[in-house]
Amino acid sequence: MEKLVTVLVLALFIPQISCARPNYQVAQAPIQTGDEQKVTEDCSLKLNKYSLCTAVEWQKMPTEDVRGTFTLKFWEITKGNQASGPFITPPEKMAVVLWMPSMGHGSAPVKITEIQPGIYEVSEVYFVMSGDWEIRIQIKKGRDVLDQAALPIYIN
Amino acid sequence: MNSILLFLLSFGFSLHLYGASCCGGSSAVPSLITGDDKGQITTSYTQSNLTDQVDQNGVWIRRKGHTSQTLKFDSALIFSDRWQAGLTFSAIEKNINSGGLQEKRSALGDVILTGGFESLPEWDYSVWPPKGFTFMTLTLPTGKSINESSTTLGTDISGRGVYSLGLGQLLMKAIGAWDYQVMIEVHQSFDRKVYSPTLERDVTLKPGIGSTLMAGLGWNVKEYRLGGSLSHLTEDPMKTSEPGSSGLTQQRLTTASVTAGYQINLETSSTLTLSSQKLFGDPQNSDLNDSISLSIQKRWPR
Repeated sequence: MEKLVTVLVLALFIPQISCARPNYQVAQAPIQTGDEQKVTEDCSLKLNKYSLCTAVEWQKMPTEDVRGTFTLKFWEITKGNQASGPFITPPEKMAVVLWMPSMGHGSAPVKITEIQPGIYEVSEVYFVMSGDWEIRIQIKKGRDVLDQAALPIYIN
Repeated sequence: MNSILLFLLSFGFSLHLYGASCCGGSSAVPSLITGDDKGQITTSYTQSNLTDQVDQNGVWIRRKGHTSQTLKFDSALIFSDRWQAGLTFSAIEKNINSGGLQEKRSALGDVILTGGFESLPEWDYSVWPPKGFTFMTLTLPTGKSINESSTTLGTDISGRGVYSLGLGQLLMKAIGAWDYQVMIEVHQSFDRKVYSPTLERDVTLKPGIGSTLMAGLGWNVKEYRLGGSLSHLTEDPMKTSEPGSSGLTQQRLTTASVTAGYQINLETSSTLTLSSQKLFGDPQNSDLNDSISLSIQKRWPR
């Protein structure tokens, strides 16, 4: 019986003990995003409940050494655009959450500063690990999330 | 000769296995009395340095500026012939320099309760049948999980945030100057509601099953023991009640260790351990560390 357990453990174990093969990617920009990054006439991040559109514009990319900053703009879907507005303040509190959907946890809280109505600076952006993340832009009342738009990004 | 080897084996089974430190993971391998002792206490100090992160796609990213020190206490006591109970607790200090910030925090890790039974006693020495211990562990979420972290760089993460119940079997044998150990452990973790500073509300953690497989080999000469081991850890992804979770992937990593032990006297021994998590296996969703550890064990004979 003891021999059987030993053999079973080793049989389960041996396939795992090959030498590691590090899969380092070629160095590239620390953040990779989709076309949402470009200034566009289309609305790619929608807050449907409030008929709002929003866009993320990076001012400083976060790296291992520096926290990032981006600008967040809000406009009505049918009445404005990312380039020229007019920009409006969301009807309820606005929040930004950095969320890692594949691991079910977030990252450090960001700092949000209103620059002018409908335009916010989001700073102290830091991702605690590499991988697939989402920047979740939320409209909240108290602790309840009333509406949300999510921008997928990959951190390397 | 055999009694000397038994003493050496009773360096006490107190492997230093490191889980996915990003997320407070820790192996539920307990400290067991494996020799003819009544009780033992093991104190260990470990210095770890994060070298790489591996994401859910298996891509490696080099990291620097993340170090941690862990002070751990393991204790075990025989309370009835072949039955024993144990307690493990640790204090972890993390020092992270990243994103233009430097953070340093100390925190209590998860506390582990252990119950063990000598299921395969070695009444008389024989060549092949190993000595065996069956054990159960209960991990208490006294450390803060990544979901509860309130610091920018995650220096307050010291546990998994959930209760876990584990069951395992350890087999060990001394043959001449050599000894070997194999161990298998499986644990089930349970749902728990925690407060998430990121979400500013409660969230329910929904863990799954994890396991540890370990094999080790040692060579003994006089008061010295040189050994090595490989341990493979897996952990189901931690789901949460937060909607939108997707692409959840398993955590896995393999820790390779070499040890040098010295028996100071019949009741005291010390062990130096060097470990690396980037040499073997196919890690995924894990932080990989290089570590050095020094432990001192004091035993009380029956």
